[in-house]
Amino acid sequence: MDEEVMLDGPIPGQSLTAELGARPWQQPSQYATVEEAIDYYVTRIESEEVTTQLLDVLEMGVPVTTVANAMQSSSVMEGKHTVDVGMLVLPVIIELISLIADAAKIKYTSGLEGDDRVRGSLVDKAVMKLEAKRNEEDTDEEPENEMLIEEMKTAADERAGSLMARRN
Amino acid sequence: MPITNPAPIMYTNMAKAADAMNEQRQPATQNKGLLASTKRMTNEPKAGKLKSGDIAMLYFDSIRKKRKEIQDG
Repeated sequence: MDEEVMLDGPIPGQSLTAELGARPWQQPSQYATVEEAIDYYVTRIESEEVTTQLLDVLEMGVPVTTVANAMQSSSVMEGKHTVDVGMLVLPVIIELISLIADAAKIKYTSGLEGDDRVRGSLVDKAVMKLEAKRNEEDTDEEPENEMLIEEMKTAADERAGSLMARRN
Repeated sequence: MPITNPAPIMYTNMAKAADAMNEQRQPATQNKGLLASTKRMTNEPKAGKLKSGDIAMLYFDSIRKKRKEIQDG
């Protein structure tokens, strides 16, 4: 066996073993509206302790989007707000963190680089890996890789087309 | 962009929506006097009628403007 079997993962159905309502996210959220949630984040991020930690993390090279997502998902787990409020607040948190980083004049990664084109599938990820591999390898193997990329792209197009057809 | 992190796509969408909102907002022209219209200006959002997304977008836009000011110096 090449790979070790993971034995410390959750057992299927483990999430259903606790009593309903025992978890914070199963209770009514503390901040029901977007405004309340934003107020909560502004106060939290503006505090000196959090700001110092935030700047340290950003200087280490962690993208702003990752920090923002971690903040909002942990707040959902703590029962501060719901998932949908978290999604709406997410861009505001990103801007807030960026504002603090800009004010402190530190170099940071936003995590938004190269998001202009539409992407977001496993096929796309595979294409990117192939492109990276192609750059590393010799030029002799380029036509083969290009063919593979083309094949994957057409497969992705066909898949997307069939999905659209199913929807219709 | 990892599939598990929705932050970049949410940010991009909200930025586009905020840009579109700023473009749509035209300078309000008011006819004063007898020809004054009693109708509410269509570009003005009605008080208390904003959706959650709009509220978030307004906050987002104002923070973004502040950040641009800081960047410009």
